[in-house]
Amino acid sequence: MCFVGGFRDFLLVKDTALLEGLMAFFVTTWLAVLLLRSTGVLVTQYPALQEAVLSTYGVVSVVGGLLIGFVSTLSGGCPFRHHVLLGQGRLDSGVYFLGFYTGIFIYFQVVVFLLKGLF
Amino acid sequence: MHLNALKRSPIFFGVSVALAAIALQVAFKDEIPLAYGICTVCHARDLLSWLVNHLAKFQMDSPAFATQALVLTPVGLVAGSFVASRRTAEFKIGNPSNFVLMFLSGALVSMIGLVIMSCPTRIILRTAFGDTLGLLAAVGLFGGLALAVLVMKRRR
Repeated sequence: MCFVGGFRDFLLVKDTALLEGLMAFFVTTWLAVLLLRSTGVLVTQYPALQEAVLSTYGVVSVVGGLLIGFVSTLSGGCPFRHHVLLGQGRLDSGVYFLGFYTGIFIYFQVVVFLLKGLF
Repeated sequence: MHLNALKRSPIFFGVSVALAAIALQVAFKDEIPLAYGICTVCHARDLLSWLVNHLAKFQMDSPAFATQALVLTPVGLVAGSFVASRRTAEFKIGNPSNFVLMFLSGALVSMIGLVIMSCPTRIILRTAFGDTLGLLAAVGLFGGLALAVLVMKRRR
């Protein structure tokens, strides 16, 4: 169940294993949310699509998604997959894991101050 | 035999994780944002914030709920994978390659993920919740993925 791995495997070698898991995840969540919204257990309120597209955060979401998609595909998978691969003993994923947590630390020490003026 | 085959199916895994994410969302719905049941980068941030704030007494600027609860999702992912891979004899310490690129990839993905408040998994979760910003991030994610696949095909 990996967005990046699923579509990458499908586009490169037509393998649908990871994609099946991803689609099952999406459909199950979508149906569960519909059910919970109709029974009043969950209340969701999101901006309309046009409003989201024209907002600063909408543009940032597209660009951020693009960058994450590009870098994750070249690194071999999404962070979820790298955590799982680390459990299987892959040292590459261990290094990715270290970089991942270092990036979180750097974000809070440096990046968040640079972005304060943007949002 | 049939049940064992189902348990190893990716569809079973996708459905299980989705139900777990929804169950967590409903259980903690007043304390966590929407579509927060599973997110590698957000839960990793929460775990690191808790550890840094409580053990190192060093204040990290993160949301209030992140400093109150110890979120162990990343630990569970690695531990679960380790146990499962030992059971199926798939555990093998692999030869490392390209340390610098992998380290930089991890750092970039986590920093950008924190800006858009989603990892690729949470982008799917947010889209399934009906979040229009999650949908835009998914569109961007797919675009970046397609671009990287083009680069990989050209390299061959």
